[in-house]
This record gives sequence, C-alpha cells and structure tokens, in this order.
Amino acid sequence: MTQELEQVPASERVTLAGLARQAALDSHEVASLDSRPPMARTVGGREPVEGVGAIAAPGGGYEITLYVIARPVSLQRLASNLRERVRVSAQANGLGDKLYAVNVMVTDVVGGERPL
Amino acid sequence: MLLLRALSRLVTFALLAALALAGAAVAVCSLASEGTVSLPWLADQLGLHDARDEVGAFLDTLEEPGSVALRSGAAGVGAVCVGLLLLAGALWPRTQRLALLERGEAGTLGATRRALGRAAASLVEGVRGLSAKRVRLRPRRRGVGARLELRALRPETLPADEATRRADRALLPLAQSFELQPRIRTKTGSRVI
Repeated sequence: MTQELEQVPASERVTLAGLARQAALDSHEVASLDSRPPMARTVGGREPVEGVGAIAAPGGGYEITLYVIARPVSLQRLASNLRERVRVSAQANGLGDKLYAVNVMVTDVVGGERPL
Repeated sequence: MLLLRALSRLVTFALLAALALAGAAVAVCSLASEGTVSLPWLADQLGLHDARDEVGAFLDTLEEPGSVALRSGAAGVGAVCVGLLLLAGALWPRTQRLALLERGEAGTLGATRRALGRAAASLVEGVRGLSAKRVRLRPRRRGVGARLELRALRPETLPADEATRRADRALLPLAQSFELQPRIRTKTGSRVI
C-alpha cells in the first residue's frame, strides 16, 4: 500500500506549491516560511508543503500564496523577486502555464538590518 | 476575545488538574474495599454522607416553587452562559487581519500588523536619538493601505516637532510604497539600549 502511494505522482497543484516553497527558501530575503496561518499548508502529496497555500484559480491554473517570515528588506522588492523566482522555477519544470498568480503574505520580519 | 481565550485556558488547566487529582485519589482508594484507604473511607473523608443529607433537603426545596428555585434557575442559566463564553474563547478561530499593500494581476502583497509594525519600528530606530516605543497598525477594512500610529521616545535636547519630522521622513518610503498614513507622537525619555 505504501509503495502504491509512493508511486502516485504529485498533482500539479502540489508540485507547484513545492517549487514555490523551494524558490522562496532559496532567496536570501526570506528567513523562513510560516506554516501557522490557517491556509499556509498544501496537502495532497506524500508530505504537506508547509508555508505555502495553493488553490485553483477561476480562470485555470493555480494561485500560490507564500507565507513568509522576511528579513528586513523592501517588501515590494521581496514580493517582486519571489514572484520572479517562482515563475522561473515553474517554467523550468514545465508548469509555467499553470501558474496564475503568486501572493506574498509577510507574517513577520526578523533580523537587525534596516528595511527599504 | 484574547481575555476569553486566556481565561478558558486557565480554567481548562485548573479543571484538568482537579480532575487528575480526583481521579488519582479514587484510583488509589479503589485498591482496597475496606480499611483506611478505601472508597468508603474516602467518602467519609469528603463528608459525602452529610452532603447527601444536605443536598437531599435542598433538592426537596427545589421541587417547590419559591425563591430558592428561582435563584437556582438563574444560577443554572449563568453557568450555561459562562460555559458558552469559555467555549467561544477556546474554539473561536485565531484570525489576524492583514494589511493589503499591493494588489495586481501578478498577485497580492500583504503583511500582518506585526510584520509591518516591526518594519516601521526598525526604520524609526535608525533615526539618531529616536526609539520606537509602540507601533500600532490599523489596516483599512476595504482596499489597500493602513493607518500607522507610532509612539517614540526622544532625548530632551531634541524638540518634539523636529523628532516627529525625522521619524516621518524615516517612514516615508514605507508609507509611500504601501499607502500608510503615519501618525507619530514623541515624548522625552531615555533610549533603552
């Protein structure tokens, strides 16, 4: 049974959420992802993707929401960079057309540098 | 709601501790059927026989219409209300209002009040002599932006209007980017290091 479950490929939604999570964690502007908010978890794969919400968009594709604990940087630049990273990662994995939008929710700011 | 939540946690802890102690006492006393540590001994220690007589008389008066019945009814309704409030405190979902900073086709940028407050405090802390004491953010109910109330400490040598101007200038990039309306108040005080 376990082997059967492991062989089931992750859905596009879960794959996109995983890619978005990795892209966010690779950014030096992100301290970590926050899995405490109610929607900050994508389930459906072998393991839940913590800190990322993924829902189907009305016009097709998926809307990704990153719940970010950020370092003190410009929040606009942070959001822009994260969107770009997620978009590039999705395209590299053949899911570029499935990505509808990337929302960035900053739940906390940690660190001692100055924002903006 | 915060008060209810804290109260429900305290009451839950106290009730569970009392329940655990009572359960342990009954369990220990159940080991023997008679003697010093037994259920009859425990009933004697707790005065359950006397309590049964007293409660029996009280229940008799409850069955008749009168002030005792009314008071008991009111106490029952009060207990139900308290229980409902504690349940609300324990079960009400924790929600945190987000300040929406940007909304576009590419996606939305939002931040919790805590995150934005820390960002604002960090900016003000960068101003020489100023120390952010309290930051409060009130996101707009609809649309983008928020009202930012900030209290800061300044040295006595720095006039209030100059301190406010400096803090305002420090917050300008944040305020302009995210449609924040800063309201700054300063008072003299030593900076905590």
